[in-house]
Amino acid sequence: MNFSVDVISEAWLLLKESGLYILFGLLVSGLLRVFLNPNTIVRHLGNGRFKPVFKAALLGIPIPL
Amino acid sequence: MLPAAVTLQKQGANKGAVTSFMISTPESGIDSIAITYALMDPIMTVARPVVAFFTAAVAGVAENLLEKSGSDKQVHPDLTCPVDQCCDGINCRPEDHKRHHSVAEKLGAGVRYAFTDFWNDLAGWFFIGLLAAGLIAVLIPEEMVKTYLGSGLPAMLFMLAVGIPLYICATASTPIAAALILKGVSPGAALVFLLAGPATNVAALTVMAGIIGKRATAIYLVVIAVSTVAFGLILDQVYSALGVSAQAVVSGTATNIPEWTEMAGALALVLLSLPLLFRKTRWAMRAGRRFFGRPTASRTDTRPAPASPAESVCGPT
Repeated sequence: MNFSVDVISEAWLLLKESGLYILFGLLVSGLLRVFLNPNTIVRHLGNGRFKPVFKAALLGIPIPL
Repeated sequence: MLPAAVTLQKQGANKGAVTSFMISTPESGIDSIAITYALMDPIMTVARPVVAFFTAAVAGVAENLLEKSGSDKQVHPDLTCPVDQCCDGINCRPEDHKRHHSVAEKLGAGVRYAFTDFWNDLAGWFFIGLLAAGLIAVLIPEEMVKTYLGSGLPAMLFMLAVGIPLYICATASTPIAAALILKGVSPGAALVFLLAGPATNVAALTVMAGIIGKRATAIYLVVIAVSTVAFGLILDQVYSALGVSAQAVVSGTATNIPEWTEMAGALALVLLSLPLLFRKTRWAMRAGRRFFGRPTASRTDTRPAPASPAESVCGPT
C-alpha cells in the first residue's frame, strides 16, 4: 500500500513539473500539423541524392509522431 | 511513425530521405523538447534534437551511399487538406486551396487536433512513462546504479540493449530518463536511452524491413547504435568540461513557476485524458463481454473502435 502511494506521488510530482510544458508542446504540435503536414513533407524535400536527406532530418526534428 | 514513412516512400522520396525522416521524427518533436526542458536541463534540451539530426543525416547518407542507384521517381505528394479533408489536393492545387480556409479556421483545427487526437494518442504512453519513472524512483537503490550503471561505455551499451527493443515514444521516455539521472546514471547514457528508445523497437524493425528492405534496416540499426553511443560519450565529456552535475541540475528543478500554475497544468492534462479513459474502459468492457460469450447489444455498433495503442503516434505500426 505504502509502496504504490510512493510510486504515484513520484509520478504526480513529475506530472506537475511537466504539465504546463506538455500543454505548450501539444499546442505547437497541433498547429504544426495544420501548417506543416507530415504527408506533404515530400513536397519540400526536392530532388537529388543527399539534399533530401538533410531536409528530411531537419523537418523531422520538430514534427512529433 | 511508420505510416508517414510509407507515404513518404510512396510519394517518391529516396530511401535515404525516408530513413532520415524515420529517425529524426520519433527521436525528437516539439512536445518532447518541451518536456525535456521541464524535467531535465537546457544542455539535454539542446543535445537531444541536435544529436537526433546528426544521427538521421548520417543514416540517410549512409543509406544512399550504399544503395546502388538512387531512384529518380516522380514525386507525388499527398496534398489532402489537413483542416477538414475538404479536398485531396489533386483537382485543387495548393494555390487554390489556400483560399479555402481562413487562418482562424486553421488555428482552430490545429488546437482541436492538439488536445483531442494528438493527446489521445500520447496520453496512455505518457502515463505509463510517469509510472515507470515513479517505480524507478522508489525501487532502484542509488548504490546499485553507481556500481553497475554509473557511466562510460558499459552503461551506454546497457541503455542501448534496453532502448532498442523497447517500445516507447520520445515524450514518455523523458520522465524515465530523468528518474535514471536522479539515480546517478550519466547524462550520456540517459541520452542513449532517449534516442534509441523511440527510434527503434522490435515490432517497428520487423515492419521496416518490409518497407525499406533488410539491408537498409541493418544500416539504420547500426548507425543508430554507433551514433547514439558516440554522442553519449561526447555529452558526458561536455558535462564534465562544464563542471555541471546532471544529477544535481535535474533534482534541483526549482522552477520559478508558482505552485498553483503547476497544479493547474497537471489537472488540465488529467481532465483532457478523462474522455480517453472512459472510452478505453467502455471498449475494454465490451471486449470482455464479447470474450465471455454473452450476446452483445442487439444493434451492431458501427462506430469505429478507439485507436489501439499500436496505432498511436508512438506506435511501431
